[in-house]
Amino acid sequence: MIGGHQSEIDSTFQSIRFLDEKARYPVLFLVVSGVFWLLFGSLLALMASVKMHAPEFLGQLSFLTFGRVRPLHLNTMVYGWASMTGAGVALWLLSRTLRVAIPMRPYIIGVTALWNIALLVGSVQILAGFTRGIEWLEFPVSTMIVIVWCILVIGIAAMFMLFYRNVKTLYVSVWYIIAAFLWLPLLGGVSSMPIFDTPTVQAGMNWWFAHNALGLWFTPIGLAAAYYFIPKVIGRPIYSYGLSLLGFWGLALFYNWNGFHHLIGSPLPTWFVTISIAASVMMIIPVVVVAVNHHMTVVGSFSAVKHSPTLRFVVFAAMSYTFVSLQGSIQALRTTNEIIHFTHFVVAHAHIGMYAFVTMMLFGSCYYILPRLTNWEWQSHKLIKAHFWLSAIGIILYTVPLQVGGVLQGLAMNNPDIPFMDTMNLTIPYLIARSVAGVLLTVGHLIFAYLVIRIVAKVGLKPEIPGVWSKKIKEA
Amino acid sequence: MLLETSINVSYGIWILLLFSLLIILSGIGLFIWAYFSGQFDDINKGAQLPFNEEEPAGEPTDQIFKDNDSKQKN
Amino acid sequence: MVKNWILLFGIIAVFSAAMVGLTILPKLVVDPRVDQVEFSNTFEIVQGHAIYVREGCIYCHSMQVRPEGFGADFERGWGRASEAEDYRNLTPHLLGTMRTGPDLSNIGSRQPSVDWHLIHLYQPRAVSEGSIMPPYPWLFEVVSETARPNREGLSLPEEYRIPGKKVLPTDEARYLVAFLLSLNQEIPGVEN
Repeated sequence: MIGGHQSEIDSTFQSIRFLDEKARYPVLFLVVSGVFWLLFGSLLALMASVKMHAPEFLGQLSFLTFGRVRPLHLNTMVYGWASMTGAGVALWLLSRTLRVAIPMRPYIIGVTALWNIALLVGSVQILAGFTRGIEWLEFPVSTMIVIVWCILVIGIAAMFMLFYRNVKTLYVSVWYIIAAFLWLPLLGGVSSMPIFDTPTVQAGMNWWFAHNALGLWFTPIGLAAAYYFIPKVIGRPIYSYGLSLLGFWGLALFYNWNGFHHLIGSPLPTWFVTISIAASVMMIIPVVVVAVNHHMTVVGSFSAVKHSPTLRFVVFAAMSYTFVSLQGSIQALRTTNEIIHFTHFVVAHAHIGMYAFVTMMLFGSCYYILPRLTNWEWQSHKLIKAHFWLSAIGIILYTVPLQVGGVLQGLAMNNPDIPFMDTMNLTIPYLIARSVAGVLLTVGHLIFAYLVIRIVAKVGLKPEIPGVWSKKIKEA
Repeated sequence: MLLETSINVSYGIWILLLFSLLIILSGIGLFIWAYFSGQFDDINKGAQLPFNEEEPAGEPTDQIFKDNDSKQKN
Repeated sequence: MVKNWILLFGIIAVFSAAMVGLTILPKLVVDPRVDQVEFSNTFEIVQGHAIYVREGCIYCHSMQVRPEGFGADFERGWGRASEAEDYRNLTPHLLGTMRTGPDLSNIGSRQPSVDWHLIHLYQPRAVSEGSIMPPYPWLFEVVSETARPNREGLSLPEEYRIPGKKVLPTDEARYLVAFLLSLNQEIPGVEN
């Protein structure tokens, strides 16, 4: 059975080493840029986190006030780290699964440079107070359009790869990535249009965009990586390819409609909100489908998880995806939302999504991709393990206390006998715990950045033979 | 109150109904097309796509902690 | 190649359906209602709104009161359930998603004192012990006690006073307070 299907891949012309050779510069540039914004965003995150329990910390500087540092943290992490690294990982995955070299390489490198400049300009704009003022869309429209345009150009390269591919059947990762590259420019384009000019309608657009930026851009890229790396590292095909397609269309149908569950109780017409709640609950279908598929693929191969840095991160991320999505479906219910809306619970939930799922998935992908692009080895296995444990423990220490604190905060807020000040005071210990977790995460990021710099600059230990290549390829 | 002063209820419902009908019908149509054009004949063949002769199924990759833990001491 | 186009069509179709449903339809429903209302937005209110946006107040203060019976917003005295017209048609919207601090939909009615707001903005802990709100000293200027004799400085508590100096609000601080005081559900500042 295996042999029959392999015949449709002509690997003499499109060997993986040839593809990786072509992918080297555009993907490395995207990943390294992403890592820079990861460090920058971590610094802002620490600052914002400390300000939550020490309000006078850097309080005299207008450009470092909480209301400017916090949105910039979100924007650099989302449009810098996760989008850039995600785009790089997505391009590499397309090149591997479609068996075609990445086209338009000089253009991709050019728009990545432009993207970095736009992020830099946008950062200065937010710190200087020229924010657009809409959550997840704080960059001024002009800056945002540049970023969306950069992703659009990379998306055009992705479309070329789809149409000039060397395989007949599309792997499920390709479905997700192609969709992501279509959805993000559409989202960015629609949200930049000046038609949302009344406050409540704009609030609707705001949460439609913000939830879909996660659901239609980062989630597809993250799942595409999981669908590729789990079978690849274990060396066993995905449990059910049919299920994976059901998962894709389920996500495409239901995730689109989720945004308004951020507006339960707001002055927007209730029936729109109800549609979103229904769609949020329907998300259980694609999430469970993906979870079953991944679990059935991994089960019985846990030694592979132990021995592979990639799989450690990817399995952690895949489990987080299942957890955070099911949690999201429950959060969207009115009875739950009554308590946790407007509390730190939602902040922790967002970090399980963007960190424990998306960021961990990207870390895992980088650990697989970078040695293959550079033909170099990771400097230190101990540091990789340290990075994994710092990130894993850090994010658990971040989210668990903060969600406990968020529930207590919400319960207190819904009890009118408790003075409002107490609803804030009771969260302080949990906010301090978050700052501690933030330090752990940042140390992990510094280790990751060090490892990336060492492998990209090819300094440090020169490996005799890159250990990532299987024996057969070493001989070739 | 809200709907009375803007567009009326039935208008919005018709828009929604038409859109959902259109989407559901095109979905069903595409499913029928896919079924009869043989898209589901060998549903699991896509699962083999990450593998080829260079890195065949059955061979784990990226097991770097296993190979090098004894050698590498930094 | 036809399969490619079917895939791309499907991807864009599911997106467009939700885009129409969650952005265009609400616009068709809500906009005509807001357009009927004439908002008497003064220069100070518009400027104050911009400063509220600039300093990122939205990240800790919501501006939407949930209906009675859903949460305890009403019982806390934050006002009646918010309506689409309450927002004076000022964009960006300030509905917010976080209540590290209290809801501000009706703050102009709950705390009508200009002086309280000015002191609170200069140093929140001067009037609200234990607050974790950041101070906004750049909305104020600290001048010598003898300068500008016709203007009185903020009446700060002893511990926050600077000897020989007085603290004067800048125009920005006054605009921001004007905007905060305009957030009043009882006198909506609306002419029908």
